[in-house]
Amino acid sequence: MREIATTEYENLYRSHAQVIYAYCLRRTTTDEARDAMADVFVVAWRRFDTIPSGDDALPWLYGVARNVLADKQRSARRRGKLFAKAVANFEATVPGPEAQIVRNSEHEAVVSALGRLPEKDREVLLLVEWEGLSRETVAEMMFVSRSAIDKRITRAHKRLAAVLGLMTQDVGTPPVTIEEGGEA
Amino acid sequence: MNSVEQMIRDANPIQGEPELLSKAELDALLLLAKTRSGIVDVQEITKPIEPDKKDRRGWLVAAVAFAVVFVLVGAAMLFSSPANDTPPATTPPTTVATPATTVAAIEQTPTTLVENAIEETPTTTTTEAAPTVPVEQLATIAAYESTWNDGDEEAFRTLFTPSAEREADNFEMSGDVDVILKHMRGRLAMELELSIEGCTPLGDKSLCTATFDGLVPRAMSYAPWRDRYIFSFEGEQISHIEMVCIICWEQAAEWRFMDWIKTVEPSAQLVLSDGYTLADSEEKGAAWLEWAPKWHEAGRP
Repeated sequence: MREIATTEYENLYRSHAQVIYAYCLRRTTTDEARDAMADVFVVAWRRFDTIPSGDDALPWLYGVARNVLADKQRSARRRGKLFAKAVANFEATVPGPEAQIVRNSEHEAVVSALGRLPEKDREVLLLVEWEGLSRETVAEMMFVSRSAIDKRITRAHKRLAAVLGLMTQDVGTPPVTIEEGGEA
Repeated sequence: MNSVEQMIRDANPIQGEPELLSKAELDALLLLAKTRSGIVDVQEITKPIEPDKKDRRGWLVAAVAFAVVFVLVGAAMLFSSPANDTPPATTPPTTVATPATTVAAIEQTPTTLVENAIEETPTTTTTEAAPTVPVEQLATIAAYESTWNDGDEEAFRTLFTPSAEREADNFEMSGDVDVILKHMRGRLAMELELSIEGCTPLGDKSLCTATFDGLVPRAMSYAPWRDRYIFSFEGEQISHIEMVCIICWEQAAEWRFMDWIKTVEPSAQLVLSDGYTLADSEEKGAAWLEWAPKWHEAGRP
C-alpha cells in the first residue's frame, strides 16, 4: 500500500515539480525556490490523502507553495522586496536559453510596480497572468468567490496603471521610452 | 487585452513552461523531500554496503584451492624427499631478512598516515619508494586532518599562517582565516570527515591523497570521494593548500560533484578548472549550516 502511495507521490512530483519550482522562482531567490519546492512536496506527502485528483492537484500545490513561501518570507515587505529581487536577479542565477529571459527597463518598471502592489492583489494577478490559471481556479484556490477575484484583478490593474503612470506620465502607453536604453 | 495585462505578461521572467531543473536536480530535490517526509530512511541509505555474496564465494573457492595445492605440494615433497637429501647448491644459506625499505618506512611513520600509504600512483610522481616526507610535515598534516574532523577551531587556526591564500578545497576566499573557519564549520555541520590516506614528497611540498566522507553526502549518494592536496609549508605551519582535482577529469564524477554542490547550494556558481572554485563561498558555509539541521529534523542518525 505504501509502495503504491509512494509511486503515486513520485508521479505527482514529476508531473508538477517544474511548474511549482517556476512559481517559486518567480517569487524568490533560486536557493529559496528549491528549498520551498521541496517543502511543498513534503506537505504534499503529509496531506497526500486530501490532494484533489487530476487537474485540480496543481492549484492545490500552488496554494501550498504560496503558504510555504509566505512562511519563509515572514513579512509582507520582505516578500515584496524579494519578489522584485528574484525577478531582477533571475537572469544571473538561471542561465540558459530555456529560461526565455526578456529583460529590459520596461519590464523592470513593471516588476517594480508589481512589487509595490498589496501582496494579495499581486498574487491574484500573477496567478492569472504568469501562471496561466483561470480566474475560477484562482478563486477556488484562495477560497473566495469568482467576483472577489475579479474585483482584486481590476483593483490591481488600476493600481498598477497608476504606479506605472507615475513613472511614465502616461498610463496608456508603454512605461519606459526607448531613449532610456530599452531594447524595445 | 489591455496594455497593462500585456505588460505584466511580458515582464514574466519565465516565459512558457521551461524545464528549469535537470533530471539530476529533480531527483536530488525529490530525495530531499522524501527525506524530510520520512519516506526515505536516511539510516538505511547510509549504512555500509555489505560485501557481495559472490565475493564470499570467491574467497571460499580460493581457500579450498589453496588447501588443495598445499596438500598436493606436501604430498609431492613427502614422496620425493629420499631422492633429494642434498640441498641444491643454489639454495640461499641464510634466512630471509626484512627488506631495509620496509624498516625505513616503519621508522619514518610518525602517525597512521603512512600505514595507509597511497595506493594510487599520483599522475605527477612515479616514485614507489618509502615516503620521505619530513616527519614534521606529516605530523602537521595529521593535525590538520584531526582538527578538521574534531572542529577544533583554535588548533585549526594555528595550522594556517595568516598569509594562506587558499583554503583546503581551493575555494577562493582571499586567505581570510575566519572565512576558512566559517567554511570549515559548514563542512563539519554536514559531518564531512576528512581522511588523509598518505603523502608523498613534491619538491619542498607534500602531495597528499584525501577522502571525504560523511553521513549527509552518503545520503545523497555522492560520497566518499577522493581528492589530492598539495600542502605548502612555512616552517612547520601549513601556509598554502591547493587541491588537485582528481574527479574533475571524469565527466560523470564531475557532474556528480557539481550536482551535489548544486543540491546543497543551488545558487552556487561553479567554475571547474584544474581545481574548482565556488563563488562567494563565505555565504556557502552559512548556507550549509542552515541546511544541515534539516537533515537532523529528517531523522538523520
